[in-house]
Amino acid sequence: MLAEAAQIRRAMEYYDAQGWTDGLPVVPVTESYLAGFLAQTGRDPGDVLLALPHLNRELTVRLAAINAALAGCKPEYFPVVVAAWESLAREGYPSRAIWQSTTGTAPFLIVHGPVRERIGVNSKGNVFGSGFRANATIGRAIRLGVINAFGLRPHELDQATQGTPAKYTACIGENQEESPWPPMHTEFGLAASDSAVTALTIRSSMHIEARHTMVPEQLATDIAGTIARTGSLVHETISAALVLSPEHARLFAGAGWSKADVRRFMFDHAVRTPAELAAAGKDALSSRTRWRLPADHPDALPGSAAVGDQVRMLNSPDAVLVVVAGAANAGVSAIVETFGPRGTAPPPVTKVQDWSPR
Amino acid sequence: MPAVSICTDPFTLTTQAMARSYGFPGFEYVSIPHPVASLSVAQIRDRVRDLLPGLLRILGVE
Repeated sequence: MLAEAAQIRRAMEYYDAQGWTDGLPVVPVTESYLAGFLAQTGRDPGDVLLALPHLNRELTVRLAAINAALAGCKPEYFPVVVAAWESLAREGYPSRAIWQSTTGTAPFLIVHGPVRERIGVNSKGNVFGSGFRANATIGRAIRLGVINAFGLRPHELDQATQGTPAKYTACIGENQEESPWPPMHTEFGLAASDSAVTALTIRSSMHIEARHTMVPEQLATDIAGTIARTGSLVHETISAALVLSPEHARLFAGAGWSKADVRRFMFDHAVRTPAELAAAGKDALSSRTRWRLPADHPDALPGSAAVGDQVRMLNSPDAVLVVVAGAANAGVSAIVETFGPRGTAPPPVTKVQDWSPR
Repeated sequence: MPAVSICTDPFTLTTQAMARSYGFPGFEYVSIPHPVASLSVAQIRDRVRDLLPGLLRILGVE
């Protein structure tokens, strides 16, 4: 056993020396071990799951499987990993080079449906935290694919100024069982019996503590104020995923609010005055990028300075996604700051394909 | 049309990595001090004046 442990350590050091890790040790992968992953999908090993044309690089099913195995996934997690890559391809930001941006985004995965139970995806307590192999390794499988298939390493092609801890892994389950509303994937055309993954490009996750209110408008105002912070404004408007704990979701639903009502409230109340935007140097728009900047900036679009009583920070109620996750034990929720959708397209809710092991 | 890339100094490693990924490891470009986004018009003019000799050299202008 001692000799085997030394061999495992040598393999781990080898992978690290090649730069094939996220800084943590990875699991050694052999062809026979890889075959177990590939047997879990009907996709051909050579199928391209995501292409980044500006880098002239592609991630195939085989590369996805290698990185899932390196990440510590069990083979039976692989259909979820495949769906996550398909969702990222549909979401669109990765193929527009967002992973090289100084913003420093991370892919964030939400897993829906029966597969959560089957492979042990946590959707309850500590849902953003550690302790669950499926969450930890499915999210990490994406990160390692980004590093190894696309070569997006920090200090090289990954230009993130600070990045986010979500770049190690960011994968949660939807807590459908303790949600007062239908499962999120059924809002976007899938059956409750389907399993699905929604991948979003995110910048940060912000905590909301609201333990004592029983008034839905108070809770919603608290949340809207978090969405509307000026620091998140790079573009003209922002978007968010509102991850409600069961307690907060039930407060809304108990007052007769649907998810659409929550989204509408956010659209109407995530606002800033022109003076607040000017105080933060974000009252005007760039003539080229339409990014926010001060009205006296050389690149400010003439006439773009905010006017009126209030400026909406969201361009549509659909710029907010609502999902329930976490334990039913406190008035704690989160705003996940996303880079899309901004109400122009539905989120990339992607079905996990049923498979018959070959 | 002949063109020259202009980057700021913190992007040197990335620029070189992108050049390698496109098969041009010795690709020449102009690097200037960071930042640019928060400069005034006068400061931008200074930056342009300072970078012009390097840009013309890469273009082969005598």
